Amino acid sequence: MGFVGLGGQGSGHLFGGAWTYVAGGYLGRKEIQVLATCDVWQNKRDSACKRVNDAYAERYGDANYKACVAYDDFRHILDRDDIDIMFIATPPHWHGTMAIMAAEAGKDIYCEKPTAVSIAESRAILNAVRRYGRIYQAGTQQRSEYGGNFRRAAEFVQSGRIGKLKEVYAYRDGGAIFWPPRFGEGKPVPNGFDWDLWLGPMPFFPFDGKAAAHRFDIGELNWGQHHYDIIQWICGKDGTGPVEIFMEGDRSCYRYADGVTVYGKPYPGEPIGADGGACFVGTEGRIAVDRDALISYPADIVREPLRPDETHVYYSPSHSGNFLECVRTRKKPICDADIAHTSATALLLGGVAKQLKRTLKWDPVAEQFINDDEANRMLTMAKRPPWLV
Amino acid sequence: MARVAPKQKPSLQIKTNMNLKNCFRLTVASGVFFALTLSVAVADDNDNESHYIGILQTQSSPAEKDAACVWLKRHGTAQCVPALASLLNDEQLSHSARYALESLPGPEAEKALIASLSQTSGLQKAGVIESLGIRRDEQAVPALIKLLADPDELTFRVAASSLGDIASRKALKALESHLNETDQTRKREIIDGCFRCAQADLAAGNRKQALAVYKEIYNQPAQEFLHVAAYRGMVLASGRKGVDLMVDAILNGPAPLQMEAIQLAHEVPNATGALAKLLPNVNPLTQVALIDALGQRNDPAAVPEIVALTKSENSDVRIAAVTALGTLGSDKELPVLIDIASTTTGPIQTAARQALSLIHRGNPNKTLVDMLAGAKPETQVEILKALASRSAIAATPQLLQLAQTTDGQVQDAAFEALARLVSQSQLPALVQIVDQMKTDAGRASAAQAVVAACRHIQREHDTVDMAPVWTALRNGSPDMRVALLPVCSGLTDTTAREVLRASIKDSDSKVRAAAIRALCDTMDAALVGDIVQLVGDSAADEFHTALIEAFVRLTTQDDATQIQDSTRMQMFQKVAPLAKTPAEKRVVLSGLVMIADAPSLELAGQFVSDEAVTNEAARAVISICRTLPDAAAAQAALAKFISETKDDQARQDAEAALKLIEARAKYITVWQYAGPYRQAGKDYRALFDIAFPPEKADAQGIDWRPLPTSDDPKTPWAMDLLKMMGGEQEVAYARTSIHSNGEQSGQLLINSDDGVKVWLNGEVIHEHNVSRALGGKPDKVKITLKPGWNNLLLKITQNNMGWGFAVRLTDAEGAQIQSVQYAASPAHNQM
Repeated sequence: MGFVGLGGQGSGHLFGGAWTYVAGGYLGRKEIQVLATCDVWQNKRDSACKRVNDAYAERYGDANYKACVAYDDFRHILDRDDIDIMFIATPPHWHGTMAIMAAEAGKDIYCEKPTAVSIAESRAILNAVRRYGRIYQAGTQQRSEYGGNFRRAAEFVQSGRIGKLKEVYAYRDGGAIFWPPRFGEGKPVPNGFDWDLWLGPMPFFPFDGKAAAHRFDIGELNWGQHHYDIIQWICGKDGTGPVEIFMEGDRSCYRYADGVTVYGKPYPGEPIGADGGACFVGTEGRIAVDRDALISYPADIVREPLRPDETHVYYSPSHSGNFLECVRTRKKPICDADIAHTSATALLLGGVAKQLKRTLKWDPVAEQFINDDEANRMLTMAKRPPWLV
Repeated sequence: MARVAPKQKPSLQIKTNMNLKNCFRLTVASGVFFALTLSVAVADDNDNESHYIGILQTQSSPAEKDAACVWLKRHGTAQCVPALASLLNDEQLSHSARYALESLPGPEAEKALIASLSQTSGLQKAGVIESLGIRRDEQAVPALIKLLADPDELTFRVAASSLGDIASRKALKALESHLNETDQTRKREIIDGCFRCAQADLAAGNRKQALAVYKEIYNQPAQEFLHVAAYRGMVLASGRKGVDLMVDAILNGPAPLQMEAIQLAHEVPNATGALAKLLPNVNPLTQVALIDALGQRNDPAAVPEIVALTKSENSDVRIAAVTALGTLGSDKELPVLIDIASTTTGPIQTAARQALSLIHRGNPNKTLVDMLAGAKPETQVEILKALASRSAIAATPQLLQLAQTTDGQVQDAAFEALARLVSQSQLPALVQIVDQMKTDAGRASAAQAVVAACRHIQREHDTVDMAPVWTALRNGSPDMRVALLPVCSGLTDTTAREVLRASIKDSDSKVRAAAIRALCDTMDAALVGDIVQLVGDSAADEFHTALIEAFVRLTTQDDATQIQDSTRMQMFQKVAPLAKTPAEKRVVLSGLVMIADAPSLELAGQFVSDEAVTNEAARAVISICRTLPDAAAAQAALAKFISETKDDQARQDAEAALKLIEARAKYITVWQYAGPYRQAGKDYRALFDIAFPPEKADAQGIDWRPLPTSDDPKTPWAMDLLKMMGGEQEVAYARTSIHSNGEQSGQLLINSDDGVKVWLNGEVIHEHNVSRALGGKPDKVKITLKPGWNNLLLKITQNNMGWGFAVRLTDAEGAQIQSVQYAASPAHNQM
């Protein structure tokens, strides 16, 4: 494996952290070997690389172990035939471009969310993954982790336990990325930091001292795909999309063709949902779910165990485990590129609505806004050469 | 596939083509007001666009030009194209211009981009090529084809991918003509371009065309993964023949194609039969992969071949087959799975039981029930487990029947199943079975099932009606009552108490004994008085030790706060002398250590002179002294102990404890605490200002508990919240009361980890929202104590790692404060 992006998220995955749920992270897994670390910050890539080599040296009793290499440019990883997987934990503006390049280089991919920053980019990722038959897992781990809360919610809702689904309260609304101001006064770029490469496909502007991963975010670009991914799953809408996106106050909302409406805000008075969750309202009750809890009104709905004749969804008890299993067996991962595409699109459609502040009609098959030239212009953001895919 | 707007008719076109002149002519026909409004709106857009076009064409700053491009991306029309196009070769502004042009609908933008190909170079040119690919307009193809001869690497690469995205016949032909590239990088890029065309063809249903492309690339020498991707495309483009390709690869390899075929086996339609037929003819590793794929296909047509593999010699294959049957199998597969579950152990048995819980085709529950009759005991056990795991509630009558008519493992399994399946309405029937059992063991099993069933109903429905159980306990046979009395131990309600108390006085000696046993196991602190009485009752001698253990447990467990301290001490003073054996005395001492107040210190001290437990008593005394809030009393007791003891080790321990208390003396160490309090998404900083119940004047039912003092010699003054509650990103509250003889000024010195908010007599007197460790300079707060009791409340935030506080109270000059006492009992604290 090669790890690109060794900030909080990347390091957490590599070495173990709260949300990775595997002690010692990928480095702790005996079935893989970490051969490369890559970051535009030299200190991050070097210290991660040293930590990897030290761990293997101790594990295998080989004081000279130095097989892991630190790279500044991820293309070195793409060139290596002995690296099967690229793990992408860079800032979001790089996710799509890097994933496409990785697929075209024959790598399997794990990519953190948000998986894309424009709808056209999201489609291009799916196309590239399918073009080369790669295994791709999106970092929307709620389908696998947290005690199966979200899986159970999907099974209960799809089995009709709350009756016919009417509304969803997504807690958070849409997200997007903005074109940054480009001609401010620059500051000296710190030693050991490649600002130009950090920017990648984003427009160039002089270093202003800020290299935070989410500095280009609009709305809920950071957290939103967690919410919208499980909403698509629980509603049984994977592979499809909404037909209308509208604003309620300053929150984006959307509606599916069958009338199910998703509001980008919390259910009034319902505390559960903040942590990646949502509230699902049906004709016979409602279910609220997030990472910490799964509850229903009435209470029995979630208490009775799932029966064999009810709907069972994809079972995965570990997101990283599922990914690696699928790399080995070529099974379809639980958050494959097609699922990531429709989840990211649900989020990004909200982002378009938030910027235009009006109702939009969407054709989920053609992946175009209907009779809305201005909105259709926002499906893409031109990439900066040479980061063209 | 997503395409950009250019192919659609832009909706703004009509409006923005109107100019001012036309508008004013319209005015005459359609009314002044309407036309003025319309003209203003149109004029606004026109003016704005003209304004931004003007910026691009003049000496405005790059920042202004960039901002103009941003506006034009959303609102620009054909009018702005020339101005934008003029920037395409500008190193600084080309990207900004493309930001707008790339998504601008209409042929003008397309033409301008194509024209700029000959006017741009390097990175700028590459960007233009990419934009043409995004726009998917066939007009660009001839110009892009020319670029396949360009020596610049980036130009070549982007031209190939853009031609692939446009995917016209001409584009494909041009790409194919470059498949003989000798440079491997270029060849790969051409192949990618061809793949893009083929992918578009497949999506549009042009399978024949796509197949031709994939075949051509498949036959090229190229890197392995490209070969595999071409093969993948061939399979997907071959319709039903694609399955033949997969079968061939799985049987004959090579390995990379075999892997790809297995990957495709999860998704390619109409392939189940062919793949299933392969199973007997491939090696075990491949069998496992195929079975997995057939499971993901969710097509039961593969079942017969998979059933055969449940008998494979290879254990991995057997497990894979059994697992797949859970998803694919029907009631017809139940006998096979039951057989495996009842005759194996380990992972295969687990897999079989899991599959049995999942099968949903046919009528599995009915079939399982039908299989019960005449089956071997081991088989019946597995059927019963399966019915329980399937929540087969409809089977309950048969299970009740089986529980009564069988014994041994089958009866046990029937009871286990009943515990999970019995509903409220069936509870009386289960209770009745207790009486129909013929042995004590049988009755005990049945009673356990009743208890488990009650818990299960409570868990699922929030409530359970215990009436059938109470009726049996009041009116049932002695044997039945003996078996059911343990139910009362887990309950804390009035009926359970009443039943136990009546049963303790029952005429039947076995019932009395069972009642006392149940009393010894009770969770109900309200029964502690009954226990104390029995300790002194010689008729209950047989249970003497168990009763003392129960007494100590109930008076020191978490919800013992309902027992008044004074009442508890009276009970200890009654029970302590009744402890006969060293074991019983040790239990009493352990309880005194947990209470750790002055009366318990005195009582523990009385055991020091008892030779049988003198060491334990010494340890208890020292332990209590270390955490006793009243430092003077602790020091006196330790001093006395040190002077009297003959045990060197004990003396040393006591001296160490004395040092600890002296070090702590200046600090307030009498506290109660409540918490933790959290709110999702809020960290310790944000929680600082969120008012939880303990800081609200009218809050009820807050669980205040004593906060033990530290016995860490390094930080004897630290009140440790982390030890009590653990966690991160939360707050807790601590309260105490300070009694002052008169009004006086003083000073609080407060250390906290992390932040602290302080109320004195209901008013906030100090706030420090911070993340810090406990050591270091304290916060100083000047206060005025009123005569009598003063309530002090702290709110301590927790970021991560350590969590605690330390508080000193001095006089206004920082010296020892006089005439104060501390207490943390509820009587003094009202917030």
